[in-house]
Amino acid sequence: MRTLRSPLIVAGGGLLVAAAVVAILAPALAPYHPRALVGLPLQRPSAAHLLGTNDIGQDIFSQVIWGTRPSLTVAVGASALAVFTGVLVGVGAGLAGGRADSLAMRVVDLFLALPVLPLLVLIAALAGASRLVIILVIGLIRWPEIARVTRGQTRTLRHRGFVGAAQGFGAGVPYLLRRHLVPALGPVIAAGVVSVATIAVLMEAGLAFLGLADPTVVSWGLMLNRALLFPGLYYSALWTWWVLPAGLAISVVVLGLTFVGVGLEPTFNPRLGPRR
Amino acid sequence: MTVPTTGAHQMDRRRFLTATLGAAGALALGACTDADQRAAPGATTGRPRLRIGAPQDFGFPSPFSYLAGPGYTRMSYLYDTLLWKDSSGELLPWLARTYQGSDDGLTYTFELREASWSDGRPVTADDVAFTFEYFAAQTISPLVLAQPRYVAAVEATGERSVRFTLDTPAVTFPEAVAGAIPIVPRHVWSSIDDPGAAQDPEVLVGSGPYRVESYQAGTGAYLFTAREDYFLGPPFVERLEIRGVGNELNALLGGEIDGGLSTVTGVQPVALRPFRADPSFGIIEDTGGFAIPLYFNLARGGALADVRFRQACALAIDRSELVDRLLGGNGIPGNPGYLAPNHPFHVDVEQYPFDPAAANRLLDEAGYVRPGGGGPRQGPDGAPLRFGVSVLNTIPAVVELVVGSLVAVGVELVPQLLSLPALLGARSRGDYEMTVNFDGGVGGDPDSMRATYSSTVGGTFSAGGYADPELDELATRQLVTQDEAERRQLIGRMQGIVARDVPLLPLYYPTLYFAFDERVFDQWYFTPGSAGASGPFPYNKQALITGRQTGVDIRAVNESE
Repeated sequence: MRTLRSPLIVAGGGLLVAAAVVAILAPALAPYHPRALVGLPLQRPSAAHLLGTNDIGQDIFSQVIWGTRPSLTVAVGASALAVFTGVLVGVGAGLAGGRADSLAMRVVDLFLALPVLPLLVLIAALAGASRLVIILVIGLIRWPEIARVTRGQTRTLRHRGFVGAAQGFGAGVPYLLRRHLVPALGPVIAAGVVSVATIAVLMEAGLAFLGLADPTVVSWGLMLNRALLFPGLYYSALWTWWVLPAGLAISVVVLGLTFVGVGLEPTFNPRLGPRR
Repeated sequence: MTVPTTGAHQMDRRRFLTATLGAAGALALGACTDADQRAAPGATTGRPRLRIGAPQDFGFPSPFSYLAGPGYTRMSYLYDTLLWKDSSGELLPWLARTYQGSDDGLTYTFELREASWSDGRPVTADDVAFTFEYFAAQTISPLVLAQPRYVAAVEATGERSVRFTLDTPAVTFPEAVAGAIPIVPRHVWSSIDDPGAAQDPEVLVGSGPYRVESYQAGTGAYLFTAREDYFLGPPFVERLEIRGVGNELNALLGGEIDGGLSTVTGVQPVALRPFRADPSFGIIEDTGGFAIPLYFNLARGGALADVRFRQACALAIDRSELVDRLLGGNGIPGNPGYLAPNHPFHVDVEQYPFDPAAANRLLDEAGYVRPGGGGPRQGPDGAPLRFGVSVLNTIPAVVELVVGSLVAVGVELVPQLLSLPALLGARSRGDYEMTVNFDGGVGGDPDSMRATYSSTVGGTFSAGGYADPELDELATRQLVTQDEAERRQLIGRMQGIVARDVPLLPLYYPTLYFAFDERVFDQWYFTPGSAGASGPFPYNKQALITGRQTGVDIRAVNESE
């Protein structure tokens, strides 16, 4: 538990909590509906429009605030799916051992070899890039690394005395999972969440940036996509309030996740940690 | 103002071409800047040397393998046509010295000038006859826009006189055939079986003003140098380089090129600001060469095939606001009659002025009711008014405005952004409900209306599934009539019909801008209705050859224009 107080985790967690609060309170925080035509196009920042207006007269500040939602939704959804699948397969394989274990690990190897971005671009182009598709694809592609680590941990734990003792007293797999394995796997799972969430945020923005996202959703990636398609973007100061805020918002969330991830690293890999 | 519509399919291809260019041009960003190279390298003759940009490769510049309109332009620097347009929009005698059509419109005779191929041999009437025989005998890619139509026979009646016989009178023949088909030498092509595949520079023997020194497939870089033995005299611009650049205006600003085109889907005034601010730049503009229409796929039936639904959509979309918001005023609101208000054949038709209340009433009357719990209206058969709309991915903002306008009257659109090839593919398969993309054929000869609306033509840019017998008949009659006043009247009636039926709704006509360094060359113009099959672009060789905007007299280097 000591690691949770590391400055990195506190800082990263703070950023993420702030982003989550913004996402939840978006309707209250944003001065306008993010899609409403609330002003003339291409207005400079002013009291009425803190970050000015975009090419058709929507409030950019409101869009930045609302853009938090798709980013975090995808991050949470994809990492939940990846962790659920990964832990299930990892723990199952670790406990079962033998052929089932080898088979599961070969499947894991197969998935680990899949390139995420090209696959996502392909799927998005063919099936459309709704948020659900992105969550499913990232979740289903990134579970193997979690499976591999949890399997390793499970195999170690299996041979520990307390697990053997519980089994000796007749504990079943669900009980073992709940009482002994999942708690012990906590840090591993947390690290997995951070890793998948980071990828999910970047992929969501990246696909939107490439123009492959649902164009009716307000997201940071789509804001960048729209801005960069605008002819003459750099002929005035326009980009400083249209491009920079969305880019910074993506950076802040990824930075928060990265801080937490790096902060968790010592638990994950004790050799990196301070000497006890 | 007429355009090379040698037929429906051809029109289609031309638009494909302009479409291709537009999409690539709309890819923003780009262009690192060399050191300032803007001053014209005067070199030896003092004649200008020009650099222009292009967003992509438009193919090997032979008459049988170029790609789309910009490819045609490059080819036109190497090959001549019998007639050619200058900035007045009138056809000048070009390879032909004179020409004459018969009263019944079925026969045309041409007398050729004394001209030579770039290998020194003379251009003869036999080459002209061979050109048309050869085109007729080959299978050529549809992206090669200029292909003969209406021609039944071509006969060399002397060393330099040639007679065309048409299978039907076609009012567009001088422009779409004589003014668009490049004449090729028999001694080069007669031994070539697959002309599209002949891409050896050796085959590029033309009568045109330039030779191609180099062509780089992939990047779209071309280098043309003047033929000092050109039949009109040594061309004024002695060297023309086409460079592959991402964004032409950025490249122009960076000094990489001497003239650059704005994106064909339109730009806000801010995109022109640097060029307006610097007096060394000139800007020319053209509105009405491109339209951004909203297409309905009538073949899908249901509400899409219901004229009241489409009229209600027209009432619900504020097309003036689209121009104001998307283009900052740099364009013209769409006209349901298809032709832009500045088109010479335009007539006033029903406009469906913005009126959401009237749109709601029309939908109510047509039996599309709003369900109690909200959501889109439902048709008499219970089907919701919910449609997919595929939109070119370089213009995402327009769909947002259209979606918002239609939601307000109870019509729900589900947008999908597609790349140009994907969008055109979906269109040609009929795999769409509604689409928004651009049409580069709207500004030329009004025969474009036949290609777009006649059910006897069909094609990628046609109004999907629309069929009106009266319109079909008018479309055929305007092509064969030799009476200008009658043609004008027929085309006026066609506009009235399509405005009534709204099989597609032009949303706006964006203004296209070409900015250029005046110190290097300042005679650029947009050819009214397109030069040959080039499309609505400013690279007419007439200006490059003569250094003037009209005629065939070549300007001296120190002469002002």
